[in-house]
Amino acid sequence: MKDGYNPDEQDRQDSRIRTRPSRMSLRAGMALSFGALFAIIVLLVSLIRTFGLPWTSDQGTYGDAQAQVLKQLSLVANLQKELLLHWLEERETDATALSQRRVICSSVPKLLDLARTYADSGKPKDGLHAELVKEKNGEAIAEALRSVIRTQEIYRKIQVADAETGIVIASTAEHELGIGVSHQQFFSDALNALDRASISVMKSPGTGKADLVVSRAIVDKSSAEAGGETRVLGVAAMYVDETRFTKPLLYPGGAIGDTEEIVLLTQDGRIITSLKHPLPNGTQANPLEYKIKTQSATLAAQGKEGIIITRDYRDVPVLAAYRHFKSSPNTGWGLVLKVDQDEILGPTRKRLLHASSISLLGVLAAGIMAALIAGRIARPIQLLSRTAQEVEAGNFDARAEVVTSDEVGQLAATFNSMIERVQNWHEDLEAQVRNRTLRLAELNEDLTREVVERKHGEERIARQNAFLNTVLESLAHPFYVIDAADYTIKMANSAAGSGHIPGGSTCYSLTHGRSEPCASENHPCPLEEVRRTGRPVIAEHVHYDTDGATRHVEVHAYPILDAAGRVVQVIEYSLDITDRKRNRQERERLISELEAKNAELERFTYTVSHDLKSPLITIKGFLGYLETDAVSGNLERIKADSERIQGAVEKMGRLLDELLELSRIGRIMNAPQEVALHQLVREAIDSLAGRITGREVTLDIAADLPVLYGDAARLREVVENLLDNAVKFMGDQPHPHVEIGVRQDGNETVVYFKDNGVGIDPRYHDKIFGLFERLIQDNQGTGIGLAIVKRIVEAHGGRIWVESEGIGHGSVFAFTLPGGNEGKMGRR
Amino acid sequence: MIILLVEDNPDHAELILRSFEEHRVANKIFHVQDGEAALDYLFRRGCYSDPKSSPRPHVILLDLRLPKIDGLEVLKEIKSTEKLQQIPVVALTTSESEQDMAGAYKGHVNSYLVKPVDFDKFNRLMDDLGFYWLAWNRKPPLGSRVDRA
Repeated sequence: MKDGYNPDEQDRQDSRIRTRPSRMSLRAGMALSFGALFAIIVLLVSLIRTFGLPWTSDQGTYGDAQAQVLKQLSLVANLQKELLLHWLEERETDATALSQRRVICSSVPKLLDLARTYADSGKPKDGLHAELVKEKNGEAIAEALRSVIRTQEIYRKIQVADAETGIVIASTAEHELGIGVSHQQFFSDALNALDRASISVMKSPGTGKADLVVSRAIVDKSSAEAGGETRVLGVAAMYVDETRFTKPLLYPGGAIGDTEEIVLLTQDGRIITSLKHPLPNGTQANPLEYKIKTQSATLAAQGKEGIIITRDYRDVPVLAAYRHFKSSPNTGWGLVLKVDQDEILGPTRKRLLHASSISLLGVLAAGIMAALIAGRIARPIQLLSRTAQEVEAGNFDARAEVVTSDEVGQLAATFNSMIERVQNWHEDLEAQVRNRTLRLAELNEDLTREVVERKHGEERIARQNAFLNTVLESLAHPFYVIDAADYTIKMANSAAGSGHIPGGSTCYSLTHGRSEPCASENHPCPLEEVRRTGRPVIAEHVHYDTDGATRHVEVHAYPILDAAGRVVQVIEYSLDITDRKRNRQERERLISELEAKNAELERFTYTVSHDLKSPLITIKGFLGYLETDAVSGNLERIKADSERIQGAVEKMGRLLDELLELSRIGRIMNAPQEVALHQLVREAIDSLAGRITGREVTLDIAADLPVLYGDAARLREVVENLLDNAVKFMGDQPHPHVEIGVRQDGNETVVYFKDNGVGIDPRYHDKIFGLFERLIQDNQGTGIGLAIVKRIVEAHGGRIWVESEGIGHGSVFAFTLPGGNEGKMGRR
Repeated sequence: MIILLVEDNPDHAELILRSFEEHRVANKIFHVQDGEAALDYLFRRGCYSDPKSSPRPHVILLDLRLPKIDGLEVLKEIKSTEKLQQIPVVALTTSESEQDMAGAYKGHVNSYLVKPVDFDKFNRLMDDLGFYWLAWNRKPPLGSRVDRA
């Protein structure tokens, strides 16, 4: 690798370090981006400073300046309004004072008389002027009026007119005497409001400017004081030039700006003062003629007050404050104070322009700086890059030149040491590869050895398997390995018939011929038990061998567990316990038989002792009485007691005989032979003939009585006993009858002895066959007869029973012997 | 003084009656021959339904080997019947079997006597028996009931 050049490797590295083709050099990019950033920041800062931050209360210098100016405008406007009001009030005071001056009040009536007399004389009107000039009283008034003008320089002229005719009767301007003023506004104003001065504006005929006229009615005081009707003598009117009050009052003094201007308006929006600038069409607006229509003026004229940013009559943007006030009770004036927006916001705009220029310069400067710095950084990086390319090409000896001591210099140094380490790693790697190759060879050798060993192991396992198979095959018991999941047989020995088991057989199909797993209480599935408990289980099953014979087997099941402890397979082998089971049953049967015999023997000895003792007591007792009988000589009792003794002795003898007989039955048997029942019945009738005829019993003997097979002598005893019983227990039956017959109960042949005697309560049907059991107390029966009959029948393997519905219904004794057919009874 | 004698053997009954008679033991002895008759008497059933013909006995002499219903059965029936259980029952039997004795005592018999074979002893037993039960022994008041609590 070190020596050779691998083109594939080169390609791969190229694809890994893919650089984007750059459109501009690092230097230009840096210059541009730094410059742009600087410019944006400067611009942003100045914009925010000027216009404020959006959505905050910061309005910027622009907003601040505007707010400041509006506030100033408002203040100045208020001041101006106050001043104006005050000034007007002063003028009203002047007028009032004038109208009440003595000289006027005393002289005016005389002048009035003169004027009216003249008018009545019918002389030409022009003559009046001369009359008035000559009049001394007129001169006195004029002098008074002039003195007012002298003290109050603002008045241009003052005149007094006749209240009735409106003719000027006195004036500071002599040429006005005799002219009429009744058409003037101030005249009617004064007459409408007698108790105060009125203020009105009117166009001055000379200058064309507006005149402010303060007028007041002159009232005859003497008439007023006398309580009569107020007599109005004349009207005093004081004229003020517009310039007289606009100049000193309405000049804000440049406090707000050079472009400030105050406009005074009448209620209907006509200008009172002349405008500072010409109208847009170049003409000068005439006071009291030009109606100003700007928004601020309209608002002020309408009586509203406030500040506004709007356009003025020149259509120039302005900031303005507008006020309204009453010049007289019935009329109002508007006042608008405005200043050009340009003047206020000009400096702010200029600052913004400066900031933009500076930022542009900044862009330039930053660009140059960035280009210089980028050049400085880029050069060592280029050197480094070249070295890296060299190393990439495989030259691990190439080293980067460390030019500077800054970060780039450190990078170059680090790069160099890295290449050093890579070179070392490269060499280490080659050494490791050599080592690995050696180790692989060793491993390969080990592996070969292991394969050989494994082969030996497999042979050993095969031998062990063969051994195990032989062991299993040698077992005489069937042996299976069964899958716990689906009960299929995975392995079986030959005792289990391994050669004949079809593949996929299940244990239940094979041993039980079932189509599904065993599941019943007396036939539980041992596999399921093993699977559930994980422990060995032994169960007893009934299987069938190849001949179909029943075989009892003991099934032993052992679990085979996987690593997780789950039962995966079950080993099952079965032991044939049919013989063992049969032996056990036989033994149990014998034991129970023996126990029954023992119990019977016990009962026997006990009853024997009791029943043998009874006659003894009778004998001894009555023997004792015989003595006393003999002493007393009571012959009748001697006879009776003797008979009792006799009876007891006989009974005892009979008892002993029958006991002997009973003990013989089943112990001593004659050889079995065929004997016709018919014959036995005839013999029994013969031996009981006396009893039968004595009681007049009729007999009915069936013709088809079977041939019995057994101990002939004992069977005769049975027949005799049953016939004897039937005859004996006839009671008071007037037509005693006994029927001996045979009937078929199912597949059993039953021989019966039927009588119409006393019958037996069903409660005692079992008891009567017991030893020494008697239902009727007499000295004849020993209580052994039926016990003997039962024992003989049972000794022949048969059964005997009684059928009776109760006392008075007669009874049937029936017995059957096993085996035989076609008219034969008894097993051969 | 009333005795109910339950005895199947007529000879034995004759011996007992004669002995009682000689010793003037009882005023009245009622004799029945089997267990069924004994219970019929005590429960006043069948031919014993008239209380005059079957008065309550003061003592019952009971043989154990009886036809139809065994003596032990009769004893069990008496002792499990509230109105009869106070009546003293004396077993009078030929049996010396331990089984019979145990059965009788288990059935709450009041006394167990074995009939002696010897005539003199038999007579003396009857004498003592009568004297003991009818003279010495204090009888429960007739017709009274004893709570079994």
